[in-house]
Amino acid sequence: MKSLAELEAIRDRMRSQIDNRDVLKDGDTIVRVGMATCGIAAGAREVMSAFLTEITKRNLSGVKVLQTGCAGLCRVEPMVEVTKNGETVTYVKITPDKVARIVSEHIVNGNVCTQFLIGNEG
Amino acid sequence: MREISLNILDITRNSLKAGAKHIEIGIVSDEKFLSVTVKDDGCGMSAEMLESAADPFTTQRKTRAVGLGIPLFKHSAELTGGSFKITSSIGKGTTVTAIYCTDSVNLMPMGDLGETILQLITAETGTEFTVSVKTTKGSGEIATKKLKKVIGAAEFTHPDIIGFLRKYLKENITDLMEV
Repeated sequence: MKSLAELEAIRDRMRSQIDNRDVLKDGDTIVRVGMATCGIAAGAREVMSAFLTEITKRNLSGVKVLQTGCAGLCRVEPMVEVTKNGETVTYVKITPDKVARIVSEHIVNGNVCTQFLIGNEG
Repeated sequence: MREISLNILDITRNSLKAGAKHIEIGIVSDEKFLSVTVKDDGCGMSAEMLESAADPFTTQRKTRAVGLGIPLFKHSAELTGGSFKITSSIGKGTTVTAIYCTDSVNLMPMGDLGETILQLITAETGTEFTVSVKTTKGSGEIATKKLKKVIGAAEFTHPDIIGFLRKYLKENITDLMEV
């Protein structure tokens, strides 16, 4: 049974830990998942879940996953913007199975997944 | 929208857009009814805006001339023989209540409410959320104010915390759902 006392223990362990986690270099990466009605209807919640799962699975710190509104391109939702090292790209028609690739290729290794960019969605 | 929790997510995004600093989500269910309330302290709506809020051609957004969130939520409740109500006051906030008849064949599943809440509280650490549920299986609640007494807002996105919150929300929120 999860309780707030357990949260305290996790916090203490977290804060005292020597940093041997998979820490991202070059500052925070920000992932913005479109979560307006169009995005939600297209499956954006499951996409965001997949990002959160990758973060916990890979023990990644320095990645923030946020929700944004409608970008006006509803037919290519779910849309995901990734900002890393000051550069932002927009991925479209993202599904949970594409998320692992985005995380390992782009977020961890810095190589944009060109096949998911707007204009290449086919 | 095929799940009630997706409607809740959608309408809560409206509250955030309205600048809400406190959002309360309440779920109460018994053998016959399930009620969902989303209450915020955002900018609220005028009486005029409120009247047309459920109209699919009324929207605050500039990107499209259609706003389907509220009409879809309303429809999902009314289709089960239930009801839908919005009250609002400019400068004070808005409360949306949807009541579902749980014996209706048209009732959509709740879906993963815990995961939905997880996403809201980790993505919007500047807003306080209180989620309380009371069903025939028991009561559960999560309040970000209480969480912030233990960890800082910046730590919400730490992988260990996300892992904890997922399990906490599953036990205290998702597992109590009956639909």
